[in-house]
Amino acid sequence: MMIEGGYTGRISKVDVEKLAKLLDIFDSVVISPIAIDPEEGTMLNVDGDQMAYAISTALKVEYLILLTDVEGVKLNGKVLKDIPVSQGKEIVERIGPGMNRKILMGIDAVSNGVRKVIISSGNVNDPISNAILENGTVIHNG
Amino acid sequence: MVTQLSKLGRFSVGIAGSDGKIVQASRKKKIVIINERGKK
Repeated sequence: MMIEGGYTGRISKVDVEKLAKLLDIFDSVVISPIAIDPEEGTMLNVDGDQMAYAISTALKVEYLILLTDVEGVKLNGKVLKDIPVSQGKEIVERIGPGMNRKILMGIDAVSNGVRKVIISSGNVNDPISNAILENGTVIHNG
Repeated sequence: MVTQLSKLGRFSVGIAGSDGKIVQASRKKKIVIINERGKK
């Protein structure tokens, strides 16, 4: 599906009941980052990470896994094993644009009911299992 | 992705967030472009 560049939106609502019904039927629900503007009736592009954040916090899931093209959050060339929420904002100031947004979102997610946010590489075999094994950077409520 | 999950034995479905109005959004008024140095 192609949506014109100017049609970009900010997520306002996730229908948890409908999602829960789908999850009752299916093992996995794959959702592309396209939302609907109910007032204009138009489809809008939304940021994929924001979509994952909105859905994970609405469902209060245990893990939110953000796959990226690096092994995790790097600081001074080294991958951080974990980021406690209490230190998150301090670390964000030392991280470049792009990854900093993921960290801020991760902090918000953990503060809103998600147990752990794992930022991990999508460029490995079996990336989800790799992430659940906490190979990457884990943001947690510390 | 759905195909790959199905090959792994996962009963899966693929949707857009707009399907069934599951994910709603409001249109952004303007787009801010930030370059790799964080400048607008």
